Amino acid sequence: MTKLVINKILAACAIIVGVDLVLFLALQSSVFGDPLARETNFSNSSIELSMAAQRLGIIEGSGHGVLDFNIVNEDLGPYRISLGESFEIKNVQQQTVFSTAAPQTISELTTAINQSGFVTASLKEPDFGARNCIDIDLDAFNFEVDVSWQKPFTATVINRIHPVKRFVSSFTRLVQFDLGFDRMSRPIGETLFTRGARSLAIAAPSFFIIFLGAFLLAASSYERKRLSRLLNFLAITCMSLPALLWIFIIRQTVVIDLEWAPLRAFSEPILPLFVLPILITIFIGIWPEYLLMRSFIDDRMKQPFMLAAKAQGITPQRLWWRHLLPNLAGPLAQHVALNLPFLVLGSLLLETIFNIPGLGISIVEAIQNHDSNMIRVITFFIAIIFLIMQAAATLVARRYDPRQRSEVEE
Amino acid sequence: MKYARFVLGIYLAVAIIAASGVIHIEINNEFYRGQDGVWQSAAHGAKVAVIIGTIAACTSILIGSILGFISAWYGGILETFILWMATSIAAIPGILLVLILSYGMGGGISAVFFSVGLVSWVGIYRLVHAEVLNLRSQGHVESARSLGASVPAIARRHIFPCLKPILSTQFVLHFMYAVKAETILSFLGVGVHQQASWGRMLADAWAFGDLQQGNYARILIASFCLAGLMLALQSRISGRQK
Repeated sequence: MTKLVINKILAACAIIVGVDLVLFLALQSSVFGDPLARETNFSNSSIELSMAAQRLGIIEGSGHGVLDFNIVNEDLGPYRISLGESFEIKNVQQQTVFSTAAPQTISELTTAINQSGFVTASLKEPDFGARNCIDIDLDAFNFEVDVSWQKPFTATVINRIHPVKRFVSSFTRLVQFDLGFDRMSRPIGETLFTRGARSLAIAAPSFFIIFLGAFLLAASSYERKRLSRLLNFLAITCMSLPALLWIFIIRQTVVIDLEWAPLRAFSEPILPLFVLPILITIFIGIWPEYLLMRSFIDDRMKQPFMLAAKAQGITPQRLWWRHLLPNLAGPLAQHVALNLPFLVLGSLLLETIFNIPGLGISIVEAIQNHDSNMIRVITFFIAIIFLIMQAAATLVARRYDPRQRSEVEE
Repeated sequence: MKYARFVLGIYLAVAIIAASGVIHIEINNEFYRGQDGVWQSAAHGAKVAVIIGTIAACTSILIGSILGFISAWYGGILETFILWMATSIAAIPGILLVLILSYGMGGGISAVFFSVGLVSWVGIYRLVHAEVLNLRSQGHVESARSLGASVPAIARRHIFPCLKPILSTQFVLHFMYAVKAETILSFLGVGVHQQASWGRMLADAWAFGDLQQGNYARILIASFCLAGLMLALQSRISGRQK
């Protein structure tokens, strides 16, 4: 048993690394295109690019060196400028001088130059991190450079970090629950906790009602042909139409036409706002579960041990409690465990339509705001919950399923 | 079964007609508001569904069957690595990973079918892996090996022909999954852009408040087109299983 638990833990650790690797490759590597372009929504703004690069951990400030500062004007030639020291830009034509504070990062330096209004600076893209270089466009202004520019200075060099190092450092931070900040500089951990609780408030009751209701429907329709036919017809009809159509129609009828549910922004009291999404989740989710439970029951009822028990003449109650339910425990536990984390996302559409700020809508917002850190963290934690539930299901199945229990004992 | 084939034939014909340019649709404000060309949009939706479903299902079958065969045939560290990769992908909710990959690829029709293909190969991989493990010890494969047939030749002549029924059923299931995924992705804004599709029709109907205005046409047409295709495909699978 100890060996089994150790093996399970090691396998789970390997899968956790795999999950984060998949997310890293999808969101923050160049496998599916430039992550910076994606993060900035294909913006050309040097400030946005450098901020996104720092947020994604693509570049970092380290060590000291000289920063080359290329001025795009053949007469003036290349000049060098440092980070950490102030400089001046003079406009000869207008007889004005623009002095800067000491910029500490490339993006601050670029901002400082752009603030002068005389010249435009832009970071070299996409390899500005590697070249440590800024191009300055002199526009149409007559321009004179302060002599201090020509001095070589000590500067903070901005390094491009190797993708493997980036993955390792971001993964280490994730497993240490250092989740970082989203685009709006809000702590992601807080968002995950608050919004996760709201999603769970919809998913958990819906799931248990769906699960119990489906089981009761399947059990009550077993050996009742008319009821079974009616339920099968309802299940196929409801499942064949898209979930979106049901959500639209139920919302329109209940909220707009009948005014039975509140139509307002997400604010206190929040419980009435959850009722309709829960009912819709149950309505949409109960039919596939019913069909699945029905197939589980049909399958188990045809097993030789059930036929033998029936032949011995035991009562139907005893047949169900003593033989059917323990043998259903394994597959049902697996099914519950594998579906519960996914239900948090089942509310993806509902949260979007009912405007409930939960995890589902957070992912949609993160995609709309191009916030890959947020997407990665939420997905990573959903996968971890999935793994925990899977391990719990294995334990439950081994505890209650007679066949699995006998395998462990052997 | 007969009706299912007929219905699928109609969908395919409409998709081909829409692709040939006979049914013209102009993407402008009127199109987004759904005041114009709802039936044309539905026809183009059939085209998009056929393209997305076919390419996504082919991609996932290609990846899943190749990796399933390699891991079952060669075993060892290669098998462990592929299994680890498959389990890692399966630990992330499918539709969420499709959403992420589609966003990663910048959205659009190609992003949708590639992301669905890249996510949904895991189920096929498991099936093919189990079947190949079973087949490799069977007489005809053993004979081919002892006669010195190469691995690609064994795969082509003796393994994959036996997997045809499983793969054809999986093709239909993945086709259905891809079409449903397109609807959800388009509704959430990372699906098909600048093109008519059933998902786009539902998304636009929601965005422009069709139901509030009593305009049910767009929602109902898109939904019933989708439902008809799903039922016909489901019926094909049931027919095959029988």
